[in-house]
This record gives sequence, C-alpha cells and structure tokens, in this order.
Amino acid sequence: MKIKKGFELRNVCGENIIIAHGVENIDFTKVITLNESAAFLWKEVAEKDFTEEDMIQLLLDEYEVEEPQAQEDVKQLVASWLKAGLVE
Amino acid sequence: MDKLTVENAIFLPQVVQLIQEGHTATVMARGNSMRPFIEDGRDKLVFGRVDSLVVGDVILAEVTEGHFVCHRIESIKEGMVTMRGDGNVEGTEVFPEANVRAKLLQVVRKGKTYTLATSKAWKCYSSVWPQLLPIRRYLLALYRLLWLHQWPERWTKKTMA
Repeated sequence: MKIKKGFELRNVCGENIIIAHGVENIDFTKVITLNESAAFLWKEVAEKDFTEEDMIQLLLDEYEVEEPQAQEDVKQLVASWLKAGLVE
Repeated sequence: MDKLTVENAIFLPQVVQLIQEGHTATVMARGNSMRPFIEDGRDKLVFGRVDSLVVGDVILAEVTEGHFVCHRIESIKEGMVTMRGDGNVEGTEVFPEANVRAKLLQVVRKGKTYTLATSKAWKCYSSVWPQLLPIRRYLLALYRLLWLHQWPERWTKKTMA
C-alpha cells in the first residue's frame, strides 16, 4: 500500500497533524492527529510502497515492543488510515 | 471524537500562516463576544486571506502580540482599526491595520453555512445590528433570556444553606 498523494504530516502546536494539500480549506474542527509512533511510521513509509510487515519491522527496530503488540498496533493503525482515506 | 484544545497564542499564528499560504481555515468559535449571531462552541468560523478591509467586516486581528481577537470593524482611520464584538456593549480594540491577520469568510451556524459576501441574512444582520448599539445591552439581555434561557443571577431563588 501507499500513502495517497497530497497528504502532508505537519507539526502544529506540538501535535502531529495530517494536512491535505490542494484542499483549499483546512478544517481544524476535524483534524487527523498522529501520536509519536504513528508519526514515526508515517515519515518512514511516506512516498514508498509498503506492507504491514514493513511497518511492524520499523516499530520493532525503533521501539522496545514485543512483536505481537507491534502487529496489533500496526493492524489498528492501518485500519484507521484506510478508514480515513489516507492510504491506497 | 477526541477533543484537542490548544492555546490561542500558539494555535492561531499557525492557522494564520496556513491562511497566508493560500488556504482557508475552519476553527471552532470561542467566547460570547460575537453574539447573537455566533455562539461559543456551537458555530464554526472559516477564515481566509485579507484582500480588502471595509467597515463592517469581521476580522481576526493580533491586537497585541499573541493576543488574537475576532470582532467587527467599527472604523478605519489613518491606518488604525477600531473593532468591537457584536456581543460587546462597552470596550473596543484599537490597533494598526497591519495587525489584521485574516478575514471571516463563512460562518457555519447551527450547521448551516453562511457565506458572508453573498448571504442576505448576514448582510441584513450586519447592517442592522451595529446601528442598534444604543439599545444593545437590552437586546443581548433579551437574547440570553429568550433564546438561551439564561436567567439573570439576581432572579434565581437563593437556596437555603
């Protein structure tokens, strides 16, 4: 899968916020924020083709986390990104 | 949905920057100073770049450094802007024109979008409301009473301690 074109991760007020480029209006009443580890994954896989396995490996390399936990977290994150239309 | 609250002095400069990059930005209305049209926490405000300024425009201004206020322009004289909240009886803000940061383009009021440049309801309200300033105090009191059902404190019965 891939992050769709036109989405950019920005730090606004210490929060990792996804901003849609080319979208004229930025609606701060419904923004998508990423926590630190999700933002880390976003930066790592931006502009690349990636799989859930790649993301799990990235988490295991960067954080002290057990594999089953990393698998579960990545599964949830990918599901929420898909739901929000951020990846294809 | 989770609610994220950020201090204005930190949040708004970044919103202003995005506006200067050519975006418009939607934020939640805060405070009661733009009553009766705009209600705290209910309505959303859409700001955009400032192309022109005329009396009656509602703007976001950095009145003093880091202190942002969204009110209506009452007068512009010799590069100084005076603005007053629709819901304010006393108290205006005076600052240089250069401190104007964004212009209010739309209000999403009770879920309905009003584009200020074209909305007849907004234009009508904008031409009438400022002229009612001498009796604004009473109109706002009526509004709080009839629409918001907020009774003046002195009318509520005291409970025995």
